[in-house]
Amino acid sequence: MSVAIVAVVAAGAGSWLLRGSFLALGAGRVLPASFDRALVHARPAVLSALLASVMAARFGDGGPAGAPPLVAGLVVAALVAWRTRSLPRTLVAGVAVFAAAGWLTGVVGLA
Amino acid sequence: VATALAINARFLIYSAALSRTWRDQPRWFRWLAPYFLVDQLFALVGAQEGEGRDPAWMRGYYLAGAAVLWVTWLLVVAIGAAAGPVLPARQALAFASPALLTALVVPALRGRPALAAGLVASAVAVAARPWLGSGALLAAAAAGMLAGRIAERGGR
Repeated sequence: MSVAIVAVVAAGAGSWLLRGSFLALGAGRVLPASFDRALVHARPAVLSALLASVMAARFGDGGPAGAPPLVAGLVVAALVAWRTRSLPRTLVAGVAVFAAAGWLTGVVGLA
Repeated sequence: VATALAINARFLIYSAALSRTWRDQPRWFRWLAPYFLVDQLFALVGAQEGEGRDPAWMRGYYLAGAAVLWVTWLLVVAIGAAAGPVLPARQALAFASPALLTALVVPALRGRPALAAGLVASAVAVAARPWLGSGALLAAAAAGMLAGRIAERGGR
């Protein structure tokens, strides 16, 4: 078996171990009460942290000139998500506004 | 390897969070489900929490969501690989990932504790990035969950 295949299998196993740690391997174990209560907020905390990380990376890539299209896209996407709760509409609106603002400011090429 | 572990450490939190409400799920499901666990599925399933769903309904919802995401992922990767190089406005698609995450985050920010968790986690994710790199995500998640807990107590 080649090194690459071993690496892929090991990565897959490691990934499953992280995902299955509490669900499969630790099933039935009672978590400490304070940790258990804090986990109620895992969804807003982790997803917000992910979004902030991705946005920070995009800001870093584009520099100050790239900021306006990113901010415009984010604000519109947040508004559409809030009003419609629709993933496709949020995706289309965010990308469209980002592209339009980027084209207007000369940051994003549409050709 | 360390970077991959740091980025994927959020799945530990997802696993712990889901284990709270999956205590009544059968063993086969608890062993199969982690294979399909991704951010989008965690967000979708989390949105059903507190809705009084029974374990069988949640199981069906999770597996249906997993199937849809899996098939969609395969199709989209194939289409992207074939059509990507000839697509116009490829630069605009750089915003697809933030837009998708926004669609998942906004519905999760219901109520003061959730808002506090989201705001603190975002601030820590950005502030800690230069020092902790990929590890900032885990620190941000922990800080956000703590903030949510504090806001919850303060609201009583």
